[in-house]
Amino acid sequence: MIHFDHAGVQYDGAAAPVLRDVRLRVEEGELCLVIGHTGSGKSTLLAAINGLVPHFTGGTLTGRVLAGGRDTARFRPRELADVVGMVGQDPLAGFVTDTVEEELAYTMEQLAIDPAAMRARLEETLDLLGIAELRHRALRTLSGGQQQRVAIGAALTAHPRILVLDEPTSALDPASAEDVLAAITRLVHDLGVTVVLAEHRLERVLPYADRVAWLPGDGTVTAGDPAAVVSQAGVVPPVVELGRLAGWDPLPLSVRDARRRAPTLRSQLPGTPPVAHRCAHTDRDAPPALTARGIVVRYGPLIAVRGVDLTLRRGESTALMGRNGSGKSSLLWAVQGSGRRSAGRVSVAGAAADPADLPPAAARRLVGLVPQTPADLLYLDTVAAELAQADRDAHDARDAHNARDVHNARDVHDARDRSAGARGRNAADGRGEAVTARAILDDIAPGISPGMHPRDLSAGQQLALVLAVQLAAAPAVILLDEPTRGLDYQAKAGLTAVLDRLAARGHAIVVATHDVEFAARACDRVIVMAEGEIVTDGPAATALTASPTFAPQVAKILAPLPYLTVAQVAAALDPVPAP
Amino acid sequence: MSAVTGQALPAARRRHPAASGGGRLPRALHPVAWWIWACALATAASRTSNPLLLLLIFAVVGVVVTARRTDAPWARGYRFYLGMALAVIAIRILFRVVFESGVSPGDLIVFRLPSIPTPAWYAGVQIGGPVSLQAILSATLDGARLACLLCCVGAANTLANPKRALRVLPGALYELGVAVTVALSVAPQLVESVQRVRRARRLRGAGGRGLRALRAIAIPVLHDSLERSLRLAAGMDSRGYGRTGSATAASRRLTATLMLAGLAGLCIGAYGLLDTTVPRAAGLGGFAAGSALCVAGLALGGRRVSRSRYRPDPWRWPEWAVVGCGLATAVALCLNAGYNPAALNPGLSPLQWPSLPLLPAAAILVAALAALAAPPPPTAIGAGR
Amino acid sequence: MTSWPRQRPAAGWLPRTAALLLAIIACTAGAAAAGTPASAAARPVGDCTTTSGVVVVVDFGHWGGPLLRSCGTTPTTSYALLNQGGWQTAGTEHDGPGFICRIGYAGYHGGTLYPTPAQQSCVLTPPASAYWSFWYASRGQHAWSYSQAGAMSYDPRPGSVELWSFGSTSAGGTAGSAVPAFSPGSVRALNASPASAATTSPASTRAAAAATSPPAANSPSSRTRKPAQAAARATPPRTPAVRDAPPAAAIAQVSHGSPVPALVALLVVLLLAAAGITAAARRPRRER
Repeated sequence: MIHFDHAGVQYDGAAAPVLRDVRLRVEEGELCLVIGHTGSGKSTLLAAINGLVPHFTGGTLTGRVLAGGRDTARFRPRELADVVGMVGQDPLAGFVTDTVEEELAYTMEQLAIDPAAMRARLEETLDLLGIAELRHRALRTLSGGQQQRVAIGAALTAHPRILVLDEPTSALDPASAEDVLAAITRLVHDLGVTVVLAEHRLERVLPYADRVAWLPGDGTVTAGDPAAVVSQAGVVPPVVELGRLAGWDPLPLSVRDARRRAPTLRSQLPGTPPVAHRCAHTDRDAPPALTARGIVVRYGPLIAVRGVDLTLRRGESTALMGRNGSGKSSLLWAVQGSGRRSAGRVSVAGAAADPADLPPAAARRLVGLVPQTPADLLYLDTVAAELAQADRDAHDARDAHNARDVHNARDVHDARDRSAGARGRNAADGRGEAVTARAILDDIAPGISPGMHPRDLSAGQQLALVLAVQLAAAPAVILLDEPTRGLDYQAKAGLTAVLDRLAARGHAIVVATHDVEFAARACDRVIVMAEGEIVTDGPAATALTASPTFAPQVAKILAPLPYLTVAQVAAALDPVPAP
Repeated sequence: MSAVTGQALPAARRRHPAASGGGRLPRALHPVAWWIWACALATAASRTSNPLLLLLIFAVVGVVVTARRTDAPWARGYRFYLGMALAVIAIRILFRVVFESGVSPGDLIVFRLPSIPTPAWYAGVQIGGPVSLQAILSATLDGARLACLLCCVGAANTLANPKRALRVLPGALYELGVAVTVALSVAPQLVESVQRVRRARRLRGAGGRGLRALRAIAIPVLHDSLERSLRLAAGMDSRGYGRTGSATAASRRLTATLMLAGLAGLCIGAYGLLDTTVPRAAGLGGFAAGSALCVAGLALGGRRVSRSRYRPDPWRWPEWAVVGCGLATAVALCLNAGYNPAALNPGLSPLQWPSLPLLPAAAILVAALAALAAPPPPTAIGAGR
Repeated sequence: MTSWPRQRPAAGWLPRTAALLLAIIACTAGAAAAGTPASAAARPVGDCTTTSGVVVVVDFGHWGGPLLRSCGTTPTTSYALLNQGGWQTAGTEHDGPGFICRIGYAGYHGGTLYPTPAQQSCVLTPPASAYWSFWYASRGQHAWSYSQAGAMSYDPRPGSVELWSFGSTSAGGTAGSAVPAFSPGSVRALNASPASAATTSPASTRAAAAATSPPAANSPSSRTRKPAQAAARATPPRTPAVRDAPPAAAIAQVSHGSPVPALVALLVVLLLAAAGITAAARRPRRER
């Protein structure tokens, strides 16, 4: 059905081709999973099936790409629309009309399908994807999972034989992602549609794949049986890692398969893990870094956060989890002081005032926030310019903060102590001098050339840049709103290391995330929110193993043993002898 | 939650059959019918400055909008048009009070503003001076006419989904319609983008003022919208937008030439009709020729388009009835037959009560029948929350 | 998917702005006197001389009427000259009374304002093809000047003559049917001291005009359109009859009309509003 015959793609002005000598065959009715880290060419490979490369994006295509028997070199994407359906990462960006029904009908209109047949196809598609009750809803009011299903439906009404999906669940929370993936697998099993899917969070999709194509990053593609390819690939879900560690053969690709092999492994492991899932740097003796009482955030009639109390300790890394709309973002913004806060008080150690009462330049020195779309903060032309601006912002804020402290002090001694404390806190390296943003960025993500345009950076690099910009002000508390969205495993591992180092230096960190695996590796404490209130607040080891939804794969496999990461299992199997 | 309401509502409607228009099935009227009705009323409003007739037109438009608008989000904006109308009247009064405050003897002076003498080369403009009741009233009536036009257009936008109205464009103008539709969808996304970036600015500690703030907000928003539009274009391309079907390059060129010539003819005709020194025949001739060329171009261009329409709006007797109501009003006020045309524009000095000419008033009330002729609006469950 | 809600605007901006506006209006409402000129008075035509007073001439020739002359004292505005002694003007609704749209004299056709409402509704500014154009000639000038200023903005100098002529003109007043075909000398005051009306009879002034104008070279049937700066050379086919228009009593105001139509209209509007409210109340309400 899909045939890449020695295909290669090179963009204009690029030094090396993105894809070279790709030989890939996807048979009819297969689910082909494309894996590889960011920048390895997954999007290019998927766009080439549709003809978007080279007709829309430009560049040179060598070799041949056949989709449904048609050569993409001769057919433009709009002429392939009845054979190949394309679904992107952001469904809202691809919607042309207002309501679900019109959106589903749009593709059929463009293909000049008979009006009588249109109605029937539309009803079938609504039922197939389970969105029948949404038919008159406005697209902007739907949740992420519903939008993604509507986008899939809009591509499906043309009855294509091939469906290409480019990271459909990256922006979704786990429940919505499950819905979307269930819909996709139903398509494969019931309709026999050939599906090609690129996904970062492999653990959800790998069990259903018939074929895996791995892009190592040098432009080639290695395709074949899932277990075989995944065993050589660098990016693997924890299930596969555990399988490799335990030496299971053939490699289990799903939690269910792994659980069948688990009893033998469980018998080898001690009841409690010998090491913690991560090295905690929480400073229990120091006063809390941040105390929030009674935070209420209200948007008109909607109450996003209801009276939440929060205490953060120095060196503690907290994961804030919960479904979309549970109030995580609103809580973080309210605590930082820049977002709407209808009631409540926040006090940060070492400062007299609530961050919300201070000007933004002073508030960011107490609490720093990296928002959901970090690129919103970047507006200059080069990375070097951004870092220089960050240094200037931090410097101005520092002077303003010190001056304010002197003025606000009740007596001179108080002011002297406070300014000394502030100076002490400025230092990221303990020498009493401020560290430049450049140094911070090199510490977090080395290898970013200063002349690059910030928009050309990958998602992980942009996140690192914005984190460096916010850290230049040396806040004691750092909040990150969904940093793991769009990051591959490598980038997530890098972020985990960065957060570890920050915690070791005494910052209090809160990460709002859906990614349970990331939370298991990077966080000491887990807070789960629902409907604006805190449901669970406890150490990660207990919180993540207690709930079946928020449990990492290792915990699901080795339940009831409270193991969270593969590293713990490895340490238990081969204990490092004490020196 | 909305599903429960959905099951409750049809039951409620069954108990009150009158609420559903006497048993008529609710459906959306063809958007072009509403637009013709509204434009006809706007034409009628532009012919008169009689305050009573204008008040009747306002009332008729208000009743029809209240009775026949849907609950969709785009249909809730009528009060903004009313606000804009009030603003127009206020601005007119303000300008008349400050600038054109000439007083004729026999006027009733309401108050005096200090008069600022203007230099000789600026003569002709008076600033300040006494303000008479006639001046305020004439400014109000002048503004009320424009406000009436605004409200008629606003009513058309409220009653007819603008995007569905764009769908009925002929095939040759389809791309134009899509561009406008996409622009209408992108505008709220742009607003949201600006709000998000402004909030993010605070995280960098910067204030919200100054040229640097403008750059810091504009650049991310522009990047965002550019990326979004590229993704939208790729998505639309993948879904088959722009398939040319069987058109050849020669026929496309011919279509384009006809359209351009037709537009030029329309421009010339419009100029000829508006400029009184040009003989009327030339203006009408240009208009007719331009229209003919445009129609030919549209017809030729429409043949090449291979596109079908999903559930097109039907055109049945309610559409004819609504269009007829509107056109009757416009014709009655334009033809000046059967009543004294001077009654349409009552003078203000001497100040006197306005008269109510019967035929125009009856014609305006006929336009209100559109509320009865049009079918009840569909109240889809959970539509456009 | 996530829609960021709007921040609430700073509360209280509307009452503050409204209070500010009211304060401004209140402060200026009893302030220094406006710049209305000293009250001008209408005089018999003979009272205007070559050095005092202003002669106003209105040409009703478009409707087959004569030229009517009046006299007024200075200082005055041209507008005041046309609104005293039996003269009356009407402005447009769009521009106010400052733009002269209709002129009428109590002693001519019973004070009917020309053009009539049937000919020009005077709602918007009349087009340049049919409007009252304003010409003046100061003391010592022998040709009409087209005035760019309106009636309320122009203060005529003593001894000058003004002309209101209906028709079409070009942008600078250089060509058109309203361009006066006769010279100022045929209508202005020629006496050096206030005299009785007899010595300034139209016949003598017309003779004086014929004497001062050079012999005609063109045929009488053609109507020459010359720039207003040049003296009129050809005798037009229509000889303007010049009549005096002494100060006359203004026509009494018509009655104010009856409020009944307004009440009827209000009643109808209330009925429509009631119908609208009923329709709104019977719409099935959606739960939020």
